[in-house]
Amino acid sequence: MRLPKKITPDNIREAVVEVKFESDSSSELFPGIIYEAFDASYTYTNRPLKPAPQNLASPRQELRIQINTQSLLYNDKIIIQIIPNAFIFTCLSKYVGWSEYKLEIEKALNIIEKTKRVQIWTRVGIRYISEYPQKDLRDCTKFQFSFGLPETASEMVAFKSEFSYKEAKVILNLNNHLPLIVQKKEANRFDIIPTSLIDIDVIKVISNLKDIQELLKVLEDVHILEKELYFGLLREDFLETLHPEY
Amino acid sequence: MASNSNEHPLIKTDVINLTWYDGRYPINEGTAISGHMAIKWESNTGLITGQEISDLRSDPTQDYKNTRQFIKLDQAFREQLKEYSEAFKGKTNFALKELMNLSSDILLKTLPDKISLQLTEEGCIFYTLLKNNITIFFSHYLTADIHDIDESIISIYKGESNLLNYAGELWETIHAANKVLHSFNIAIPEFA
Repeated sequence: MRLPKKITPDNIREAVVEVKFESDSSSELFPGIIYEAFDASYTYTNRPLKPAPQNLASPRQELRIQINTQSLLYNDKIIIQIIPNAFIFTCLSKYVGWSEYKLEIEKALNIIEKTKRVQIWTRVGIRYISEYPQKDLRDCTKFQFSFGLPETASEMVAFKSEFSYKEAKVILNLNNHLPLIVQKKEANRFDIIPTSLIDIDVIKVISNLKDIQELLKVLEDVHILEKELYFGLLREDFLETLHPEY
Repeated sequence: MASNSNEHPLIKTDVINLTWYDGRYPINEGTAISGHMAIKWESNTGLITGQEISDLRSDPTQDYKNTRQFIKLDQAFREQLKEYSEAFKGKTNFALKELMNLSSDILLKTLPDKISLQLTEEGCIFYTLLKNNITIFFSHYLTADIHDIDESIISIYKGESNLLNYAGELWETIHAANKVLHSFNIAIPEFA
């Protein structure tokens, strides 16, 4: 499959990259170690972390260790969240494109590598969430939905699927006509806009990976999988409206 | 009975979670496996709190947006602190930042659509917050000692009409605000 290098507009609302690791250093020391390693072009800050809501009736209830503080490091392009055994990257403002984003992630991972506190890298995840205001997913993707009440027309559909794809695990969420509140240009005026979301999370679990260059290769591979899945889902006529550049 | 197809030639779906809303009867995914523990696949990338998106109507990007809003407030606070250093004489930047963390985090927990801050010569952080059609103006005075109780002022508007003006200790102000905000499905945590 031929994959575009760029589409306009890209409709990307979030591009989250997470790299998990194992270390024999205590996790509460990591924000300090990282703070020391990064130069003044990065700003360190922290905020109290909101607790996960407790729902005792949920069958998915599980034991969780609550982190008290969210440690954040940011520069003019990206935000790095430091949580126990993982670094989470997001863009500071709008998505800057994969080449630039990857360069920033690579720069940060090289600095982290030099602290020699990471024993092994264990997981790479890339999650892109694209939004399409006023669009029906049936008009932009190959997704079809039907069930045993043909006389009804769903106003909103939420679909979640988990599957394996080329040795990666994928969590796919499709939301059709999610009612999002959007502020209008005039002050204090809001509208509810039915918005469709394509949320593709590609996760590669790796074992015993120590070399940073190999990690960056995995990161690139996972990004290609992400693109394959996204463009594989889109209808060809819709893709043409996004002005793909190859 | 449900069927689906995404027509992707390489995908073999292992777990399907399909929820249909008709506006009256949301189907709870938990009811199908009542009494059994669902085996988790992998947690989503970048899941900070370990919280799954249980309400499929919720916006999955909200957590990231909230963090980004906090960074914007942090940037504005650091920048303006240089300009208003006289107003906060005798206080360390660390103590001021901790107080800013407290009030900004309380306000961010309302998941605002927009939020901004401005430091003032009276030694306070003046926040403006928009959520739905509600506007909140919140002043957090940083002039008290770190162990004293902070003073604050709040004004709440729905469009042009004023719903509340209140001044008092930080927690009193939030309590008063919640009485008004309750009817608009907005809540500020009182024990954050």
